[in-house]
Amino acid sequence: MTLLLKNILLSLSLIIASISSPLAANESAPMEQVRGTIDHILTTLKDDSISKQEKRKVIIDRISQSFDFTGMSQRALATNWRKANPQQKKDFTELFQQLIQNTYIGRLEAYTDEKVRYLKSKTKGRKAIIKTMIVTKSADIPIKYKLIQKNGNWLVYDVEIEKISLISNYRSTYQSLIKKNGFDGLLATMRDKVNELNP
Amino acid sequence: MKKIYHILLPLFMLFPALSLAANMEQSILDDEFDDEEIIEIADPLEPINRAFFGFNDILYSYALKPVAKAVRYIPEPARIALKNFVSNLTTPIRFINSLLQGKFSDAGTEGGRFAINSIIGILGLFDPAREMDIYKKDEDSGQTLGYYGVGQGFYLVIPFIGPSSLRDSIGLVANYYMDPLSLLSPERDYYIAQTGIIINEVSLDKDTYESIKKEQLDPYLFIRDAYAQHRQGKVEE
Repeated sequence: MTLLLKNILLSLSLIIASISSPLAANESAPMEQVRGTIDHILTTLKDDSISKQEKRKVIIDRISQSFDFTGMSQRALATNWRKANPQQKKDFTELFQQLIQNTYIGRLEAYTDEKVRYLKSKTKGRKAIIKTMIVTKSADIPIKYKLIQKNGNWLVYDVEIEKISLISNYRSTYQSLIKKNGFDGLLATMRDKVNELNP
Repeated sequence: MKKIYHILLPLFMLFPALSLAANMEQSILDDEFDDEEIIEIADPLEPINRAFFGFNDILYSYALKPVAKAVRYIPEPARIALKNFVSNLTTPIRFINSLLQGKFSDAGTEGGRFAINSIIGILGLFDPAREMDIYKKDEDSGQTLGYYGVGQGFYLVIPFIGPSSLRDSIGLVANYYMDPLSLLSPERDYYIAQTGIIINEVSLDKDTYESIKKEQLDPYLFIRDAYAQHRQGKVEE
């Protein structure tokens, strides 16, 4: 009797577990993290009951939780990061975050109706790589997320679209603008761009 | 135009032989997790490249894009069918370059895709192979050169064509000879066909160029680095 009860309880709990988290079974933590974020963003984008501005706000909140913008800024600036003072670093990170968000959300908006396939997940120490594919009617676009574990959370620190790393792609631009107008000149140009994109 | 191809082709044939030795070093691929490497491309012709970039921008914005937008009135399935048809027709480029790189299973995949899509996909208008999870192997002559250790050289913006590199522009010439469309005669018809293909592609694209132009602080640099990274990634694949 107790054995039977135990079995029933066990199978019940298994069923409940599989209902409440259908993907937990064979998925790594970083993969879950990426899927959760993308699904959340895509559902938000498709939700017609909220305004475009509200959508952006919800998405930006989610991205701020899932992306490591300080790490991204360091990588995008490379050696120039070390030369910047704390205030410049702070300003840069904020502006960079806004520019990245604009680009990322803009592209997701263009591909809202497409399917996302989650292909592979690799983990090595504190780093993980998640390979996904946007499947459109006429093309497949490979997107790779690179994550790093910080304080127990998996955070995205780079996105590679068609083998193009978002972060390294900014390096030349920032490098050349710093050379031309100095660090504060770069910050001013970035501020103008952010204002232009969010009137 | 054709003359240039004749001059450049022997050059292309020479490259693989010259650079076989370099191949050895290149074969050890970098650890995927090691992301400190920076891919950049030399750009000694930047002022000229920027001028051609500006020329192409005007061409795109005032000629290509308006036509492509008008073409969007043609139902999308028809435009995708055209894209599939062209892609199927240009199989030899991918097939030959897979072979040249010793990627025999990729060559087999391309051959299989060609057979499936030509027969079941009605002369390549549809891509049933993709539904069977048999995906296109994107190989071209620029990548073959890269495979044999030829570096990208320097960045080039070619009028009417767009971003390229010294290596890839030589690759383009070789691609031309592998492209069945090059059999079109007179040569004018080849260029008309290419123009049509590009307009169709732009009509299917989701305004990628516009978003780059709007969002980036320096679109020229952004596209240059994107091109270099994309091509490097393709070679390492």
